[in-house]
Amino acid sequence: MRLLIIEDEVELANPLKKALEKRGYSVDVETKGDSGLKLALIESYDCIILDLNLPNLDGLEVSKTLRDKNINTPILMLTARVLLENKVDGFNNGADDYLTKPFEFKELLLRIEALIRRSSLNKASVFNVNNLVLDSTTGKVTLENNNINLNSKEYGILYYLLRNKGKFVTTEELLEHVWNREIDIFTQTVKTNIKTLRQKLDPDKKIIKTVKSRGYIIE
Amino acid sequence: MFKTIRFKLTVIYSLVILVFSLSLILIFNIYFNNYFRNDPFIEVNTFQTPLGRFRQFNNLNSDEANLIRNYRLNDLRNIQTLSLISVIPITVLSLLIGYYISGVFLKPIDDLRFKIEKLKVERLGERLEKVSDDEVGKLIDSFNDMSVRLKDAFNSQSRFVQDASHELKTPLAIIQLNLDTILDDKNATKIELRDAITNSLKAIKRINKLTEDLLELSIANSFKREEVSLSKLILEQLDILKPEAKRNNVKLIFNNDKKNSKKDYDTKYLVNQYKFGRAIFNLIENGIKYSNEDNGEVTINLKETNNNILIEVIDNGKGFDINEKDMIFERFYQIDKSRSNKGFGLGLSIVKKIIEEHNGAIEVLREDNLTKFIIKLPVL
Repeated sequence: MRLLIIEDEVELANPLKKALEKRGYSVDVETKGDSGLKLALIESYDCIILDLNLPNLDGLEVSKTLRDKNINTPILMLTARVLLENKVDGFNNGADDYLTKPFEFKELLLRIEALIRRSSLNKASVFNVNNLVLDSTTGKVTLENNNINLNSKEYGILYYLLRNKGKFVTTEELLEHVWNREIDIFTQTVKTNIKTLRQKLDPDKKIIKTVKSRGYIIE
Repeated sequence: MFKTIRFKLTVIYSLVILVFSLSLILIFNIYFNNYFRNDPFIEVNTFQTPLGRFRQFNNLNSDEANLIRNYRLNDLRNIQTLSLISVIPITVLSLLIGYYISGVFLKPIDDLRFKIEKLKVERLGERLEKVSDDEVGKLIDSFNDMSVRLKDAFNSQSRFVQDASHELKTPLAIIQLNLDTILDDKNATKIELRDAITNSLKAIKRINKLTEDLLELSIANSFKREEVSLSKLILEQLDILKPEAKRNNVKLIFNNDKKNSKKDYDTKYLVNQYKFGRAIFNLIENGIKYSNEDNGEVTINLKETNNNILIEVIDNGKGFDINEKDMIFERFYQIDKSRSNKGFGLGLSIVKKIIEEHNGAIEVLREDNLTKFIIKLPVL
């Protein structure tokens, strides 16, 4: 799953990006309101974490513009504005969730997870296919009750396919949602990661199926 | 009850009425006494003449006179008793009337008291209705003015506390996130650990700086002034800031324009040394922060015109949006928000407050690619 953090405090944004990446998310960071908005309009994200006090363009404007342009990506406002009227403003301008600073990282994770779950095809938080279990709230994957260690990209691919269980997912879509914007779109990295993922939990290609050699599906 | 104005007024009214009526009774009695002391006469004849009516009196003989004297004495005693007794109803009546009248006159004050009692803090600034143009009306006017002033002070205080708590939350969030995630990550590398600690320490410094600024802003009441050499004060601040200027590659220049004309000239001014020094310090520090990154330069000019002493702090940075000119002195405003690690928006608001406390004014201009802060102090 791919996230966009729009936050002007780099000392907050960078460790947040790192911690989220360790949980299998791909993360882009923007420190200004206008550039964040631009990126959110071009790229497709699964959730946007939006600060409100931003240089150049206020966070409320960012989210309002996104909604006006029919971009329905879940928006979590992460801000120091704690008053009820601030929250009312936030929700009225397109927020799906609102978390005030300072915050617990675990809570933020749960909220992001819940937002993604709500807006996706498959609303489960624990997935079970052929004894392969992925718990999205803890980030743990087990196969026949044995823990499986996946790197963040492998986890990201598996999670994205499970979230869209029953739906055909193209390689481009995987690139868009599991990698951040620094990725070269002609890369073979999806193929390589699918390969290692299969080696770890699906050597017979029973779970992740290839469709016409252009995309993948978990049924 | 005995301390109320109404009681006091009643007593005074009654005393006045009582003294007045007692005097009347006294005069009345004296008059009758004198009248009755004369020998009694009896009317014997009446003539009608063209000039008018004449009446003839004769002296009575002693028996008749005695009889009539006794009657008169009796009458006199009756009048005396009656008038003495009448003092009691007069007193009671005057007390009652006095109480009523003072009540009527004091009612607007009582109403006002009732309204003020009902006025809660949240409704501060609401105007009380003015019922008359008399003294009470003027009192209501003054009260309304005070209420508005209080409300403004109250609002600015609460806005300030809100701003401050808002500013504190960001560094707190930084600390919490960094410690939270590093504690959770069992495979964290040494570098990651170091980063988390460095970030947290930076945030702690921010909190510390902010609390110091807040404290400084609140010490507005201590105001000891003394005659201080302004050039000496500026030089002291420059000395403290030299290392920082050097670190940022910024040149500091101080021009004291009277220095050349009179050798030992020195502008003395009555200031609170600590506060005024702090204001100059903040301005120069600000100049260092925002001056040009390649060949930074901050110039301080101390000048004197006929009516004013001017202190100019000029930097060659890229400046600010001229539309934001007035906002620059507001608390927590920052010229470039993305350069948030360079300090807080409290510095300039402190400067403005201090200068105004010294009856001076501060303005900011953008001229020839320079940002000029000009402090104007009236010549004492």
